[in-house]
Amino acid sequence: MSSPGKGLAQVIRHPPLRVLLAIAALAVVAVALVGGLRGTRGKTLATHGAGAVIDAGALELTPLRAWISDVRPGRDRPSSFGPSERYLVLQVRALNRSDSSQAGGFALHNSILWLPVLPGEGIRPESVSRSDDHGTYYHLPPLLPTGIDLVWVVPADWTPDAETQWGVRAVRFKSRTWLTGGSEWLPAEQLAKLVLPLEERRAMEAGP
Amino acid sequence: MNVRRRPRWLPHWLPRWRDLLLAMLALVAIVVLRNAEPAYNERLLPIVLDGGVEQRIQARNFAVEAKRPKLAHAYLVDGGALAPDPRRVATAGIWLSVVADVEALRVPGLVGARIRTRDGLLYQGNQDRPATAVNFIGKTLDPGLPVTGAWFFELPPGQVEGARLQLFWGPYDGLGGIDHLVDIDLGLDATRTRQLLDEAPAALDLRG
Repeated sequence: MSSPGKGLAQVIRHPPLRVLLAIAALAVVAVALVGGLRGTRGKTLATHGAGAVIDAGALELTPLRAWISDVRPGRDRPSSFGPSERYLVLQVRALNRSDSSQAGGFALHNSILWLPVLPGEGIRPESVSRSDDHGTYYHLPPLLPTGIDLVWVVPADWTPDAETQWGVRAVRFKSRTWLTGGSEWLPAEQLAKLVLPLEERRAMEAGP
Repeated sequence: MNVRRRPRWLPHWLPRWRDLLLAMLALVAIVVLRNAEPAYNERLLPIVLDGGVEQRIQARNFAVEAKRPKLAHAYLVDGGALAPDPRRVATAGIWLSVVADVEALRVPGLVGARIRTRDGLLYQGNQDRPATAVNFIGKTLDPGLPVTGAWFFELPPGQVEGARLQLFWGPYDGLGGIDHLVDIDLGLDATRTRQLLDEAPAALDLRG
């Protein structure tokens, strides 16, 4: 009876197994080359304030101001229905650099996340509307800079920190996706953190 | 017959050379066939019907005759029941409008529209920009009842030259697929575009 070490040495010397081992090693190298082994933990994101121009792939974003109010943008008084709630608003200038209004609208809803607790999950805006007419549209025309209000509904008794943080995520073009094999604009890597002071606005001054 | 016997020391789960070779060939075939397969959106590419302005074009479910396009810097629309003053609908670019006669031919439904620029950018209109009765976006057409209305698009002035109007059955381009896409040459050559830009009114009244 041969020893286990000798048996293992015989197995490793067998050509098909060598090929299998080589394929496994190549697969690990390929995964490493496409970034599969790169961890995201500990990556420090750049922090930007108002006025910074951020390249977020499909969108070029410029955060302008942030405020908390008891009225939605475009309204002049709090809702008289339902429980009292407040609105956290981040106003940005967005330039759609994708190839379509549709992709720009998708990117608007996916590029900026509110970060109420760190570390923790970001929260997508509850509504996205234009700053000028306060309309809610799901398209953003390419190459036309547009003022946008991103709104999060918060409890009336929520006390904000002096500075509020948002995360910016890129939306990038994939010429071939695994799911359909077609081309799509998809949410991609985290890019930056926005830190803006919060203004407190009262009913009649909710709009910019 | 000379049959090579499997070595005793070789574990039963290890493949032999011939099996390994067949498996590799199958893998290569899978990759080659998968790459040659048309993508989901390529399989749903529409059938393009070319046409021009002042020309009736008949698609599978609708017929259209588009008039010559107009440009304007802003529109004036009704302010609403509680606001007697007209509301100005402005844009960071310029408004392009196309008046058309459209008729559903078989079943009730919507005709979607977009502008395709020389650079391949796609601009879609919004039913509330401008919010006017003649805006075709979101309007359901009934068979046998031709309707006159208009599509409105906002785009950068530099994208007007060479822009084409594309119409399709249904509200979402690309999702229905394998249907007619009417592609209308709006006649926006360099001379015509310059003339339209020079003549564009500061505000075109769409009221009443």
